[in-house]
Amino acid sequence: MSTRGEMSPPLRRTPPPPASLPDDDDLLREILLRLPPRPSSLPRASLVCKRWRSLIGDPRFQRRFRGHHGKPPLLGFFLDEYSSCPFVPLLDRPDRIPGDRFFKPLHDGNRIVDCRHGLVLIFSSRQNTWAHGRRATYWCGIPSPASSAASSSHQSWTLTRCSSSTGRCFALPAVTAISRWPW
Amino acid sequence: MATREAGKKMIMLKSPDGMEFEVEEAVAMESQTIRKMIEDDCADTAILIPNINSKILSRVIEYCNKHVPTTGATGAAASDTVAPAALAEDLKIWDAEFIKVNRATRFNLIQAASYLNIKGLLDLTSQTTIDTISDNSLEEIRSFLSTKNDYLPEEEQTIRRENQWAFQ
Repeated sequence: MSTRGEMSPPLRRTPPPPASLPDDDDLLREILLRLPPRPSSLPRASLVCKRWRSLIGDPRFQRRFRGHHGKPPLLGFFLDEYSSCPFVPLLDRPDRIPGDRFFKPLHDGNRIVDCRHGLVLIFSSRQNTWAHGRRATYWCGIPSPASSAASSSHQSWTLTRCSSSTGRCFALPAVTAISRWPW
Repeated sequence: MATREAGKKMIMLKSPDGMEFEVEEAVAMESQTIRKMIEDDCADTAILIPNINSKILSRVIEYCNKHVPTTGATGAAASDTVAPAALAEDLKIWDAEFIKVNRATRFNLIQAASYLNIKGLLDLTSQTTIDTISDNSLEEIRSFLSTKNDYLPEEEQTIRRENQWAFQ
C-alpha cells in the first residue's frame, strides 16, 4: 500500500468536463422553440453557431415556433396616408423593425385599406400597379422583415387593428407565408 | 413486474446502473412512453429505462409523483376539493424549486423528459434553459452551452448585415 509523502503535490481533482446540451437536434429544437416570441429572437440565435442556424432556418421549425407561441407580438401599424413608408414600428431595439425592411413605399394612387392574414388590402386608382392588379382593390402579401435571411425568412408576426388621431389607421392581423412573395 | 400495493397497481422501473424504482402505475404513466408500453402490455416485468441513470430517474419520478393527478380516499380527485388556481400555484412554486439544479443535471433532465415524453417536465427544463440565456450575449450563450462559434468572421458579418436591425 502506498501512501503519499509530505512533499507530494496536493491531490487535485480533475474538473468535470463542461456541461453541454445533448448532441441531439430534436432536443435542441425543443429548447429553441421556447425562445421568446420577439422579432429579434430567431435572427440573433441563428448567429450562435451553424447548427443553430440550420435548425432555426427550417420552415417546419418556424411553423412550430409560431404555433408554440400563439399570438405574435404587436410590431407596429400602418397609417393610411401618402408617405414613403406607411409602417410605424412600435417596439424598442433590437425588435424595432424599420418599415422599409418589409413594406414597399406606396405608389401614388395606392392606399392601404385593410390588412389581415398576412395580406394588405390595397386600393389602387391605377391598373397593374402591383403584382395582381387588374382590380382596383387587391390583397398583397407583406414580406418578412428578415426575408433576405435564410434563417428567418418565414417569421410571422401580428399587427392588430388600432386607431389613430392622425387619420384612418389599419393594422395587420397576421403576416404569414411571406416567402411566397417576390420581395 | 406489476404488483399491487394498498390497492394501487405498481410498476417497476430500472435504470441502466441497476437501481430499481417501484412506482404507482399512474405515476409512471405521466410518461407517455411508459404509458404506451403499459397499454401495449409490454410492462409485465421491470421496465428498463435506457440512458437515464438512477440519479436522474429518481428526479424524474419525483417530478411525476408531484404532478400526477391525486385522488383522495373517496376517489374524488384532489382538484375537486382544492381550487385549481391554488393547485397550479403550488405546482409552480414546487417546479421553481425542483429546477434549481446544475447545468449537467438540467440537461440530463431535458434528455430524460424527451425520451420518456413527459411534456410538463420538458417544458419546465427547456424553458428554464432558454430563460437563463435569452438575455445574454452571444458569447455568454456559447459559453453557457459549451457551444463553439464555427462561423468565419465574414460569414458572421454577412448574417449580421442580413438582419442588422436585430443586432442593434
